[in-house]
Amino acid sequence: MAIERADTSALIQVKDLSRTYGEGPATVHALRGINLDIQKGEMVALMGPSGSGKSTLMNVLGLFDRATSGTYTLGSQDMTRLTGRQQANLRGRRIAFVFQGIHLLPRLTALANVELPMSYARMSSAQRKDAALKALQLLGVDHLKDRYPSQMSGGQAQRVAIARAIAPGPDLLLADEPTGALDRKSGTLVLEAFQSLHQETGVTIVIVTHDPYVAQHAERIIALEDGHVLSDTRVEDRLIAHHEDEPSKGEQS
Amino acid sequence: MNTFAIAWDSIWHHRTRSFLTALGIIIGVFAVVTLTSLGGGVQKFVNQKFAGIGANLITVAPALPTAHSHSHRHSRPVGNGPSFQAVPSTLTAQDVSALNHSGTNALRKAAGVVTVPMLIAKGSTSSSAGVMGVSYPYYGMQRMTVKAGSLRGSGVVLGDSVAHDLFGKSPALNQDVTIGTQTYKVTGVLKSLSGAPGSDPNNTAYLPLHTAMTLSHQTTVSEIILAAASAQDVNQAVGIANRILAKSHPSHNYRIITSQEILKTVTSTTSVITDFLAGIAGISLLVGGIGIMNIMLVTVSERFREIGIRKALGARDGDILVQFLTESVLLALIGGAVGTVLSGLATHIVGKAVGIPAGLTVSSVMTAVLFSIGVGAVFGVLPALRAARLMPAEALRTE
Repeated sequence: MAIERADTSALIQVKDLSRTYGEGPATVHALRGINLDIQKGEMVALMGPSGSGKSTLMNVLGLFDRATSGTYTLGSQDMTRLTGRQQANLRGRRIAFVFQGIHLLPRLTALANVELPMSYARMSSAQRKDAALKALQLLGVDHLKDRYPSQMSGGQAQRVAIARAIAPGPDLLLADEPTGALDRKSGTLVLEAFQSLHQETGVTIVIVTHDPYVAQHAERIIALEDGHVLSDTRVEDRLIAHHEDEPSKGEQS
Repeated sequence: MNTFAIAWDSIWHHRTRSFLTALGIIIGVFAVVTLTSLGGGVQKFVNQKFAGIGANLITVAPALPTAHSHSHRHSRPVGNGPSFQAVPSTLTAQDVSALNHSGTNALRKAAGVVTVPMLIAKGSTSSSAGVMGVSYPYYGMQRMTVKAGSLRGSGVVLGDSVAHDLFGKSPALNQDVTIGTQTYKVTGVLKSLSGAPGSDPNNTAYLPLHTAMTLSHQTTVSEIILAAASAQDVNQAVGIANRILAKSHPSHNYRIITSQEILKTVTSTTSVITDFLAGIAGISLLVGGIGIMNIMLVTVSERFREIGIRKALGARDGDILVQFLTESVLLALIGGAVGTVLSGLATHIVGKAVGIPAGLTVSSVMTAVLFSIGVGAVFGVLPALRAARLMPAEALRTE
């Protein structure tokens, strides 16, 4: 689904990115000069306690918010110079989102929810339906296509939400605490869905979380603190093979 | 999922609230459409009445006193005659006669009319009827016919309700009635007539012109009614009348009123009243619009999350704007449609009851529809803009 590109240049390049809120003595420095590259096809966890700036960074990466200074390039495009309309055109199509909590529209079926970003992208209804069904299949929830969000479990709904995010074939999938509202078991299923999605489609995934267990599912963990990058490490022992294993209780917060 | 379906879904989901909001528009549109339709009915009624009688009739009346002649009179008071009469008449029986013998086809007849300021009574039973002196052609011009006696007699001709008031069911013909101090025989009783706007011919007693002038000591007639050959000949007849009257009235101290002019006056009066009332009713439409704005603002803040999700999924500001505008316009349009239907019923019922040909017209329905769309759009813009300008991050933060 993702566009195959055999280059090694970074998909995301962030240079000296800062974001401040307010003015004068009340100024809040949410991001203080972030530098990072994310390669195409990487699965990255963005970690940090609340107030570390991870949500702000995600908002900037997702074109929800603008940096005060610094640059952010996605592919070869400078994201800091886009107009609101250009940002809207990228959202949902090149950059897709999965949120904390269940962000399906309650009065639309699973299928209609998945089609929504493509209808904003003005795709034909046949194309929309085709892509939506494929995405639902990929997440193993195609049997739920005619159900309303209230008729699904939390884990099912979140997988529908992931299907909605990847259906238009985005370059970048941003997930903000995607398991935050789920119990551990459904959370694990959702995380595994991200992993298999990543393996099958090669889509670049950035998961924002404060939960080390969630972060363990990524290939690379970038830890933020107080608006700075604290550490940037590769995860060697991935838990991907241990489908049936319940994670040990003491490991988690 | 099209915009219209989303809007309808949202309205239907909050049916009670939507109905109460639409109620403002229902009442507003109902009031405006009902009033304009009834006003239109009254005008149609007046037009029909005028077309029925007297489209070919012309009235010659004394000139209204000008500011100049007014001061003139005060500086040099005249001894004889009613010098404080509002409009002193200058038209005479000779004028009537001259006009009656114009010798042209266009101006066919002339009838003098004089108002007698006296009461008619039978013994101690008096009537509220007005008394007029008219020359014979007047009856024909007003399409009056007798049900008893004749119009050519030397006595009094009673309107239908006068005869009924004075004599009840017993025959009035050849009975005596008194007008002022004089006693007259009833020589004719008129058939009941549907009234022309203004006076009620059924509640009037008619004396021959000269008899009436003698009785009330008047040397002039109140007005002269002319009959043109047809409505098309009215202008030509006015020209002929002017030429004839110019001889006896070199100072042009009279005025000529055609029924077209009267119609114009009545029409403009009713339309001013109708517009005025519709304007007041329009205020309720304004209040309805504010209701829509209010509830749309509530809707927008309730749906911050939905707006945020839609924006995150690629909805442009314009998409959101259109979505909420559609909802407010649809809401107003539903109100407008219901209001129009109710107004149609009310207009029909009232029109039937009052006896005027009132009903919904294409233009009143169009006005209602356009008004509703306008109200929905105007009062929907602010909430829709607020929704459209919402930052996605901000919108998603609200839980």
